Amino acid sequence: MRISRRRFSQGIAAVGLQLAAPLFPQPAVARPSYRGPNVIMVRFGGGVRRRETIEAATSYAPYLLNELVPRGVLVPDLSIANLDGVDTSHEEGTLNLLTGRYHAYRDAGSRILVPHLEPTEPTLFELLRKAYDVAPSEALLINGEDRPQEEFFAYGTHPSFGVAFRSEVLSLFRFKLMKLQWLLDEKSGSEDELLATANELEKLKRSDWRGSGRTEDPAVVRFWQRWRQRYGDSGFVNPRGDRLLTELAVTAMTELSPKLMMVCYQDPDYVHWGNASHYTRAIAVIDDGLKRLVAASEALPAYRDNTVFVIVPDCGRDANPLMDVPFQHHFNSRAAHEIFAVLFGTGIAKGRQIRSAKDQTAIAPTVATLMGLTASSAEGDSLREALT
Amino acid sequence: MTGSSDGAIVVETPHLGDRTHGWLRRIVAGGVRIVVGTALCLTPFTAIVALGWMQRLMRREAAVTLLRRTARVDRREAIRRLARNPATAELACYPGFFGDKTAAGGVLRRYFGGLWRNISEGITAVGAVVATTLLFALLLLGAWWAGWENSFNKGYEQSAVGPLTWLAGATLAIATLRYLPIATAHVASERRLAAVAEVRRIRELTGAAGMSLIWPALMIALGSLAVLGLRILPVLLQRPETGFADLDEQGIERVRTYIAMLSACVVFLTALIYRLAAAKAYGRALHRLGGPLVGSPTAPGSVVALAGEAASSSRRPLRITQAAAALVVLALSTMAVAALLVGQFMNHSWLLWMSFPVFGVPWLP
Repeated sequence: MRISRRRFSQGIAAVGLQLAAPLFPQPAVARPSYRGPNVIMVRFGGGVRRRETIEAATSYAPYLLNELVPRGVLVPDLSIANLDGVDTSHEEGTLNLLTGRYHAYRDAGSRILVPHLEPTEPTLFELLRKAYDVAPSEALLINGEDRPQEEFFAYGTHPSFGVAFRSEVLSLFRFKLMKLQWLLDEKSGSEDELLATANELEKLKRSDWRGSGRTEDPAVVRFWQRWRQRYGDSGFVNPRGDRLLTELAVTAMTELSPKLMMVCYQDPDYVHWGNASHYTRAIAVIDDGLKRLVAASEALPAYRDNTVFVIVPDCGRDANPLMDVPFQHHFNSRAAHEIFAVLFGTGIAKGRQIRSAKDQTAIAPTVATLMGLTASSAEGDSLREALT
Repeated sequence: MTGSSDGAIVVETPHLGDRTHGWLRRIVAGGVRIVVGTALCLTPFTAIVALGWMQRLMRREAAVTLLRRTARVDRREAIRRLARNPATAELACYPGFFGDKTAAGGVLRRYFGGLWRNISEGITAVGAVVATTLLFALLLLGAWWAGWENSFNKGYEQSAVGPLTWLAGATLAIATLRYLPIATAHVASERRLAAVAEVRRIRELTGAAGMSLIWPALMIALGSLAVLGLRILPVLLQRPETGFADLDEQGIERVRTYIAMLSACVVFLTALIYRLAAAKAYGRALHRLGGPLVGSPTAPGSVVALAGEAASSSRRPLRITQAAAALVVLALSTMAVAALLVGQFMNHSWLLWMSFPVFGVPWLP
């Protein structure tokens, strides 16, 4: 099998980083334990309008609107800035949320319809792990099975941070990497089946362009082993789509107790070229997911009374009155820049609305303030009005 | 040419519809037709009237083309000859949207008889469009719906179903577009919906049309690109530099009206030019085939009946010419189907999968 020079170099670099990570700081300074609050960031994505979420007459998210907003702070006029080179995309929106900056990424070899972006500024995960003694499995990114390119937001290329302070990622993509290797190690199946398994694993590894998909973290390995016991190998038993993300997140809260977790919901984006009902149905699915996450945070001792939820979309969608199905988000329309935020939990004011216009880059410094971090590279200002 | 009280068409002078003199009057008349046609193409129901009018115009154009070739005369003389023959005098008359110059009887028939004829022929044309396009339209629509529904539910094990169904629909569409111009002209000529099912005759005529089929195919391709542009326009309008997002309700309604009028005008013109090109190709094909054609009896006074009286021509296109024409038509049809696909990305209301304004009902949803 021929591989390109670029791919070879990337592979060598990734292996080198993985092998070298234990050798490098991890600074010698003892880091304090993290006492909380836990933060659960919910990317209400991929791309939703205010109309179908926080506007009462037309919302498909009744739990968000009627239960969560009264418990916390609503920022109805949050926006993505209209700057040159700023796209209203899922990747950029997510990085804006995690770093508090625009343009905080570099293109690491994007292909058509598959962007490969690497954060160039520290993400909240890296800030947390550098400041506190938090294991990788306690800083989690929950990612959808369709978006392997977002697996690599777990760490960036900033020289003071990087892979040593990476978060772990839970996704079906990562489970498949583990499962397929286990099947090969167990030699379960006929020779043809093993060959098919090896080919499938090779295909998945080609998507793992940073070479960091296969985890060695014992806590995460055990997590996947239990997941496999529960749902088997077929892929037909576990939930799919955004329901899967909810299941992963709730299970992670129970088994791994992450201090910082970001759940990257995505299914509203299926309206990109599909039915409008995909969009509204997906919003309802996320709303149900929020209910489960909040219920889990209230039931689990590690989270009860010590958790903040930050719910914010990665981008908006078009609201073109001249079209029947105006649900794109790539054409720089005003509505694609318009999002919102809902915050509630420990340290967050109750029943408040911040009516002034705020920027998407305000989220990362707000989370940093809550967690006692310093997000010096963030452009946005912390939403102090939301805090008690 | 007028209708007399006993129903016969009286040929007084060669009444050519468009006057043979007065280019200014022709330009004004043409402008009026474009305005009226555009207005008719603003709604799907009135677009049927425009469609019926185009069918009548196609019939006339096919007859003129045929006569020009068989009698080797210019256009004016061909129209005069059609007018002189009582069996074809009606074909010589330029059809009106509302009036009917050839109608005998009272004022009502003269001033509104054309409207009724346009409606009835428009309905026939709609039937022909449905018969020829419904299957691939349903395949394309079904593939779009099912493919994304399946993808949403993460049914990757069946992920090939959507694209394969779409491929089947697109292939059928491209194959259909090769025969559609002649089929449309044949229905117009015969004034019978059942003519669309005369597959053998349509195939024979398509083969005989040779290179002249490129023109209607080119119009379908260009028209589809124009329709694509119209679908992209609302998307581009919402970019911040246009100021569209700052408009109030009245401003938005104004923009909506302008776009509707532009769309109706573009659709009317492209559909008209396409149909005239199809009619010319049909006339040429009839000339080349000559003599009586195989198939069911034709309507008296139809263009095919006219062809049966014409001198037989043995100059059918060579096989290599037919093959070359088929390849070019294939490429142009592929472009048209690709434009439909790209247009759906911009504005994917399900109705747009069933809408083919250039070769179907001249109305853009």
